[in-house]
Amino acid sequence: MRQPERQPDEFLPLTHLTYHVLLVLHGTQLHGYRIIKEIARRTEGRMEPETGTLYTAIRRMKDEGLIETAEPDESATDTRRGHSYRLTPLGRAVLRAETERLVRLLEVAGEKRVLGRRQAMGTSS
Amino acid sequence: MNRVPRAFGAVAALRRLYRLLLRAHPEPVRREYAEELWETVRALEEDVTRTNAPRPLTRFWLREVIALLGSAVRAHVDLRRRDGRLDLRTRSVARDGASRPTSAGRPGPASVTRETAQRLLRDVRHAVRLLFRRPSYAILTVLTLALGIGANTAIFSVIDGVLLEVFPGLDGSRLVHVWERNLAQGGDRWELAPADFEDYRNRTDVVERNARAPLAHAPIDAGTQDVIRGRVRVSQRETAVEPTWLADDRFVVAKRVRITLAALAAIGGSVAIPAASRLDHRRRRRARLS
Repeated sequence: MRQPERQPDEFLPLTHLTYHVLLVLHGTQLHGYRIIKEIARRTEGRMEPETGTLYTAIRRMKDEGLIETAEPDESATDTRRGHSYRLTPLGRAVLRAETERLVRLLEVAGEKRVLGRRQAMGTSS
Repeated sequence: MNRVPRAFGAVAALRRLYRLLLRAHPEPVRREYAEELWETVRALEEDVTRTNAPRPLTRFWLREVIALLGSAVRAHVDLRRRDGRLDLRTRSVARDGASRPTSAGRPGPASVTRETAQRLLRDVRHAVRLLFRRPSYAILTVLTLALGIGANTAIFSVIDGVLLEVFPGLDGSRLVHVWERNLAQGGDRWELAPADFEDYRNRTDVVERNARAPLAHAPIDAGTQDVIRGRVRVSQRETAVEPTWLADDRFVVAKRVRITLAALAAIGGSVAIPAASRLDHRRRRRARLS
């Protein structure tokens, strides 16, 4: 059952896992196994959610209208069974809002030179 | 279809537990996700199996089982909340309006409580996950805590026995330290010589017959009788006794002291406690506790 449409800002701040799921689904559709593997790859193995944790998040995100089940992608090389998931327009808006929030935070950190010389070099280039 | 690797012992048991937990999910969730969860976890298991290390596989299934247990609980809670059977905030509003937002737009007390509980649950899950992620660190932490608690208990036991606990077999209200005041020579606190103490005990009624002073500096253990008799003049914490037989202006000054080993050490004395007294002390202590 879908909840009434909410504004993207109402979802912020997102949990770490929710943000990663939205991030890996941006511009593509994946099933559970690939979502876990993609998150692990992007975080260099620091984060690899368990199936129970991931599917709890997926269930909630579906209920909140952030993601939806996708039709099977015929062109995909990975033929594993199970649903694939993709972002809804609301999911994309929430991902964008959270990313903007994080960028603003990073700007504050940059102004305060939290990372010192390394950050200064990174921002100047 | 995934190839099912052979598994024995812990891995097989955890795998069965995982399947059981899948069945523990509410029916709508089970219908939609159970098969998908199983397919996904088996695919992940294949990845772990390729490392050919048995321990990571056990750890993998342990983590999966714990996470799935949390998932089952959450699914039931979510379902009940959706059905209106477990909406704490709604109930609270209906009862007393406690969770209504304040005039400043901040969430009400019930909402804050719920949020705090959720944050606490999240922290606990995070801590458990970290412990499983680094088992050597977890074991080291547990050992450190055990050692710390054990050492503290041991130290306190010694301090309690030596400094805090009343010395067994003696009654503090009857323990005194005896000095002589020699007015002729101007001394106010003369230590009582053992021979003088014997004189006091044998030739006067100032000191009871069964009073004991093993060392000159030691307090007198009076046993079951009062130490001091005769005319008593109380001056602050001191009890002065003037025996009638002394002709050279000497009389006995006694001061009550607390009977602990620390008190004994402070005045340089020691007392030999009869075994019977220790037993009596233990019996009295047991009687108090019961």
